[in-house]
Amino acid sequence: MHYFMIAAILFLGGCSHIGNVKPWEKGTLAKESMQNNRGNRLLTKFEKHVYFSKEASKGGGGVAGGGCGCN
Amino acid sequence: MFKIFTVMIFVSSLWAYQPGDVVSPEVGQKLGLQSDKTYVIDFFASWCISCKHELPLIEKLSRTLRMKNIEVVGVDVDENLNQAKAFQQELGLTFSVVNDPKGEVIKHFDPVGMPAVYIVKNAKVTHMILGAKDHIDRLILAALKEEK
Amino acid sequence: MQLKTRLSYIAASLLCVMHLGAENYVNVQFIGYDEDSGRTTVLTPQVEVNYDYGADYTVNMSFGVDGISGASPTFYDAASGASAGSRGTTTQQNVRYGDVSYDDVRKFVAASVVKRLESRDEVTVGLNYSSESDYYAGEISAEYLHYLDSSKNSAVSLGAAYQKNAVLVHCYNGESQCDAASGSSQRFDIDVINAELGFTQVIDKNSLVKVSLFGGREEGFLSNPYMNVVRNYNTLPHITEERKPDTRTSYGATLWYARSVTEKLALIGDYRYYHDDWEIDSHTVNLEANYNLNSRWGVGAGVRYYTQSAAKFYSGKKEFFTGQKYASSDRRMSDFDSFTYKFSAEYAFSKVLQLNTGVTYYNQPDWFDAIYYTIGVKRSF
Repeated sequence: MHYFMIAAILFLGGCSHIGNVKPWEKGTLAKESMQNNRGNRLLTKFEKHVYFSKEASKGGGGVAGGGCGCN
Repeated sequence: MFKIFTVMIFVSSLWAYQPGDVVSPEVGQKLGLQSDKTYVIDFFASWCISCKHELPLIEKLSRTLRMKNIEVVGVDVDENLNQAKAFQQELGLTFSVVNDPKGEVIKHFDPVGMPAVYIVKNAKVTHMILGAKDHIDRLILAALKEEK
Repeated sequence: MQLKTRLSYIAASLLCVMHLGAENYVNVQFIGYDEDSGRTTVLTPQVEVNYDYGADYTVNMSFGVDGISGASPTFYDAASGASAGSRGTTTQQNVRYGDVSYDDVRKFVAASVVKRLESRDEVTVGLNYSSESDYYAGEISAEYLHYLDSSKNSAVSLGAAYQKNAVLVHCYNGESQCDAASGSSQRFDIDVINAELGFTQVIDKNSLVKVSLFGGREEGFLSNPYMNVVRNYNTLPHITEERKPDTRTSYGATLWYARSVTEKLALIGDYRYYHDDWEIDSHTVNLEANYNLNSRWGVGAGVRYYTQSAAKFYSGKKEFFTGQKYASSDRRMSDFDSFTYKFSAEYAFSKVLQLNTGVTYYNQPDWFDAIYYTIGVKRSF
């Protein structure tokens, strides 16, 4: 039982690194370079519009986006 | 013993400063705090949009508070010192700012969000204002008023 | 030091980084799209305004105009000329597949409002509207983002959107969907519902991942009124409008991952799987790299690979269709691969003024290629 507790604590200690990021450590995640098209929504929207009008698939990038006469 | 070890792992985050806690001499020294004075400590970063909105209000407030012998101390947690200094210069901050690139000061306060404001009187934490707030200057003044 | 529970403070916490992108700015972009060296061109100026109203609200608005001029390939009767309306019974010699020209102007406007709750969960409501000479699209959407932990390292989001679209079908030759008496254009509605469930997890201070499931349902006039098929080519060739099913149900999943490899270099990768009841399956892989040269210059590059299978009612062969209910020779319904390569550069004149420019090359090896150029300015305030 004691060995199981050691293993569980060590295992859970390892898992605790995932997502255990303090609020002040999120500067890197906040960078524009961590987003598609550096966070430029107009470019991403236009890109999605090109793919939507030239390909048969849609969806997966958020629900909002509007329609077009691309059928 | 194993129970104590387990408890220590999972409750370490609960040792952050709360109202009523005394700021340790080590942390007080890093912040330049005097034990018989009142301070408004503001944790911020250049990447924090809400901090950018609040800091002009806090800068303006700091000039008023200085006349009442209350000091504002900013703690900039940017990891890049050049970025931190450029940000402080851009905003024209005149209150004292401590650069904390490795998070050695903020880890003792351990706020759950940014920006984070703590009021420290006679080395004791009296109030916390965490997160983006409208009219942060009024909230700080209201908290200071409660202290009187 | 006192040991106290922090649960009472969790409700008042905020993760500032989730306010990402929520700053005050105006973004103006000009985009020029050129397909097959001039066959289709689009010029579009677009404007976006983003504004934080206090700590709890962010408003975003965008609008633009697409000037579209070009051609799209379909079957037509050579005796009547290269036009989508060149239909009817003809001879084998007169069955042609080629470009039919069109011109149009598309205007669009979008607006969204984000409301942050006491818990800092977010509710986003959006409206989209676009209009062309023969198509109108209106959409309302809503999304709820809920943080699962006090440090905002995990979040789930649920979004849904409803579109009410309308297509005007021009009547050339008394097609079945038209008013035989007046021959005028007929309006047909299309209802679309989309939903997406997402989970975002911060892995460490340099990386995060998002997975999502999405689905949608369309009902109404889903055919393209300008696309034709050939029926009974071997007996009595008849060029007629295509017919796609009146419903379409789709679903899929995405995986998105971003990692800051060094202080200057970030890599982003995502994968999407899509399936619908038209029997179209697709896979999309997208890779992007963003590199900050210094405090002023940033560059980016990206590559995307897409592959899809054909719809069950598709055939590009003029001999294929006879009496099938559903028939389409629209190449978008075929099986094909596409490749996208893009490059971009950004220059910061100051903390509040940025210039961006880019070029993207899109290639469907079986069908066509296209290039589009972008140039834009972003002013923060």
